[in-house]
Amino acid sequence: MAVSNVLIPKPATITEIVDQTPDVKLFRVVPDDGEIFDYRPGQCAMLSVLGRGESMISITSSPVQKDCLEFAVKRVGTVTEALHDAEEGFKIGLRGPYGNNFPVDFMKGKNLVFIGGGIGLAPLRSLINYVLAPANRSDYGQVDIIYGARSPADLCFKDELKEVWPKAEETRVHVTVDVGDDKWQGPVGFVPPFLEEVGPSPDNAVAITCGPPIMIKFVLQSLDKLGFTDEQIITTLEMKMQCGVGKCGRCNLGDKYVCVDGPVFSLAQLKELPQEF
Amino acid sequence: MIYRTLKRESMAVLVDRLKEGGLVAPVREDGVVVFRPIQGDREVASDYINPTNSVKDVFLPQTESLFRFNTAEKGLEIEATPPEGPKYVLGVRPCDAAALELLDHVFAEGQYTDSYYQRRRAEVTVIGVACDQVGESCFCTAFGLSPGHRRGADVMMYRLDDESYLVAFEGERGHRLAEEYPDLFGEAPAEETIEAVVTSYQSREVPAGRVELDGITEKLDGMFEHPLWAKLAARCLKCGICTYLCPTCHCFCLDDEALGYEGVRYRCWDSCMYPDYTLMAGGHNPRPEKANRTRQRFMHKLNYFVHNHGEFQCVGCGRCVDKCPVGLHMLAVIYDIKGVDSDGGQ
Ligand SMILES: Cc1cc2nc3c(=O)[nH]c(=O)nc-3n(C[C@H](O)[C@H](O)[C@H](O)COP(=O)(O)OP(=O)(O)OC[C@H]3O[C@@H](n4cnc5c(N)ncnc54)[C@H](O)[C@@H]3O)c2cc1C
Ligand code: SF4
Ligand code: SF4
Ligand code: FES
Repeated sequence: MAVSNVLIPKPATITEIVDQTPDVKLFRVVPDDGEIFDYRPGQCAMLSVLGRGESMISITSSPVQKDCLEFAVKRVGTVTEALHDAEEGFKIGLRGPYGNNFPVDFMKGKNLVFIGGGIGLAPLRSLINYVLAPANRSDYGQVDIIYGARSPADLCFKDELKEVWPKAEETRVHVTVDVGDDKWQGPVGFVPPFLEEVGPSPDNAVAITCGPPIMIKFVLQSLDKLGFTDEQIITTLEMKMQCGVGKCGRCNLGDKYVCVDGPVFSLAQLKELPQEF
Repeated sequence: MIYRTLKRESMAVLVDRLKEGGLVAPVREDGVVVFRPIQGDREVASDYINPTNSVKDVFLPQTESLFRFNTAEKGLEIEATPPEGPKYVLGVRPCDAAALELLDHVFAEGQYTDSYYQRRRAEVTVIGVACDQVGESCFCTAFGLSPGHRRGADVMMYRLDDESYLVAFEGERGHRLAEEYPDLFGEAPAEETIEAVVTSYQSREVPAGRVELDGITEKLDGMFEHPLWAKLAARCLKCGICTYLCPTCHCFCLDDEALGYEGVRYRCWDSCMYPDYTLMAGGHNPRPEKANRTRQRFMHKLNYFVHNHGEFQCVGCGRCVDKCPVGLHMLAVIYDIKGVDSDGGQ
């Protein structure tokens, strides 16, 4: 009898690595059996570097892209460091997809305001490229992408920010940095005040935000000022994870496990949960 | 359900036979009674209230290999480790047997199931022994169980008289055992005798089990920010004994061990009482204080688990009561929760 277990990853190959920032790389990954699982924007997968461990990473590619899975990984510890040390052709373990997803149906017919900080653009990018795909574009209204990073060098997905998204139909891209450099001519300042400056209208809109906790905290205040209700605000949560399937016990907020019931929550849902994140 | 009898002297024969298929049973080791694999002449203990470790060890081992990997020549081979375990576990108390059905909620139900756990559950016959002695720390009756309960057990033995046991076989695994060893088991006694024996165990007095749990989940709904947690947690030593010995605690971590190209990914018990349990890369920890972790442990068992699975995540086995070095255990905490005003006044 063949033995299997949900916790056992499948071999996959890193086919391409694209530097994003000094500490973020984009990895294109193809499962060795050629079968890319179906997933929805906002879902994640567990990436293993065998011998080092396993990390939960958002799938930053969008389901419309069929040839590979993409992950943007920030170097912060054991596993992410090992991924950064890897070369193209390196074998990893892959399991997923895990977690819920952005409510793409609820968002239909609405204007979308994306607010990202740093590596937080990774999960949003999956949804952005899903929404902007020709097959889906007419289902959604105006798209505003508001994004910031510590410095120009720390901006992820620069090509798409500069070349791709601004040219998409009914799409505006607004980029800020905490601190500029010699060449930077764009806005300077933190994301929350920048968001207020851009001032997207809450009418028939949904705001989707992801970034460092401190940014989220102030972005939520800014969205409130702009008139967004808790139901109109969608965010993702990060918690320590090991199993990704609701068994190892550590990622819960009250009776919800972020790995299966999240990571995507509306602010209204979040306020119902114990504030322990 | 079928009933048979077993002569006391046939017990040793039964143990000998079960041993061949692989048996875990209580033994006396360094002055304590613990569940251990039975090999050779190892004597099975019978005079214990409950073994120090729980039956969980058989189904969710403290450490187990999930798979082996080999990364030679820039490749990657992953080979699942077939789950090991005995075929029988003997001497299980009713509380521990019931705890298996709580673990089932986590590992064998819902969107994701754990095939290693499920395979052990399918293959291991749980042979219980009803409790002749009730410990001071036992409070199973608070959870609707009793010293003669059969929830989660395939077989339950009750002392019939000085010479023999009454044995109840339930379900497929239970019946199989009865059929496998027809020579060992005698005819069932009269129905009234069965009824009387089983009832005497099931209605046995469990003093600490008088604790009343009605309404505690609802009360805890409003106690997340309560000062009680910090007060309780102050004395916790973060040793994790409470969670390791608990038959219903299921938290684990995954760990790799590699030498050269070859290695193993292990699953190991973890504890929500440990500071690094939720410590994330970069240093953020959503439960940095002992108070946060103590709250998590008791909220999980008395509130979150109830919301998710409709019952408490405790069977009143009393292990944490006996073994927590500072008395921060389920029974005490239940009384503490009941004793405070839910809004924070004390
Ligand atoms: C839902 C979700 C989506 C995520 N998406 C991304 C992403 O797209 N890109 C990205 O760079 N990072 C993402 N993260 C964070 C990423 O999982 C951690 O940075 C990473 O696990 C750290 O692993 P490490 O071994 O390098 O660090 P170490 O500090 O050595 O961590 C050891 C182990 O602890 C666990 N762990 C530690 N920190 C975290 C954490 N913050 N979240 C979850 N598990 C943790 C992991 O299992 C890790 O292997 C996400 C986290 C979650 C929960
Ligand atoms: S056994 Fe007691 S001291 Fe040890 S972690 Fe549990 S509550 Fe704390
Ligand atoms: S919480 Fe304590 S009494 Fe309850 S099952 Fe666990 S160890 Fe036994
Ligand atoms: S990561 Fe294990 S329960 Fe969520």
